Amino acid sequence: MTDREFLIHRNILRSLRYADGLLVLSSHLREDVGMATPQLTQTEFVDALDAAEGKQLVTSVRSERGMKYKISDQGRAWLSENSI
Amino acid sequence: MATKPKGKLDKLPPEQFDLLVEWLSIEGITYVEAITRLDDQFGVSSTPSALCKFYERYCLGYKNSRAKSLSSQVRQMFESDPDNNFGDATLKAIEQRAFELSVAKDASVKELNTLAGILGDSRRLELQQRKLELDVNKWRSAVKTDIEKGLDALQAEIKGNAQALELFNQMKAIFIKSVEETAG
Repeated sequence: MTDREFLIHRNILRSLRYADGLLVLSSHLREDVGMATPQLTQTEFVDALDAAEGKQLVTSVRSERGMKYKISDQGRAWLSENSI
Repeated sequence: MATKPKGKLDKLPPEQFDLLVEWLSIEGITYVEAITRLDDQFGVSSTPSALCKFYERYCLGYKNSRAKSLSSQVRQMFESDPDNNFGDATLKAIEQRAFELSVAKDASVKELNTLAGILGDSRRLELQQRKLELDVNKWRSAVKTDIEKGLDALQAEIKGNAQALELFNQMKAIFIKSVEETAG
């Protein structure tokens, strides 16, 4: 994982952590992480989300308004291990 | 791990710091607009890069945190309402919807009010149901009384006839039972 990938990954999990188990709409998550990550592209965001889901750090739900995400226990553990 | 050096924005006075967090997190202004406001209102110059770092440090997830707090309060309002029987799944759905409405920039206050209004509606419905039960009980009591009066009068007329009396008592029991079952 590159430094940038790590940054995006961590920002996604940090944003979701504050939702404390509630589902966050993908577009809202994108806005929040986009403000915290210089020149974040949609591809980078989607790739990072997919990777996080692949590692079971987040769980997703499909809704009529789009995909929604929430942090998992593994995600919280990852953040604890990789906090600043 | 070494801590990151503090920039100009990290050292803003508390009031200005809080305002900047609100502008970026809740109001959702752009960095260009934030730069203008910082200069106009605080005489502080900044750059998109500095603002991005500020956001990452202090604003990331802030909106979610506030929305979570609000949605928890909404859930508690429904949970503590003695007139509603919402199960855990429904309460969770209410909390989730309140959360999404709080986060969305274009969410209407009306929708949040609608959620709160459901509390009032369920209470009104309960009162209406109680009133209806009261009315039905009154009706049942009135009908039963009238029938009993009529049957008592008939009974007085046939009291000398044992066979008629026996038949009468059977019919009276059926009538009373049918009134109670209809009302129930």
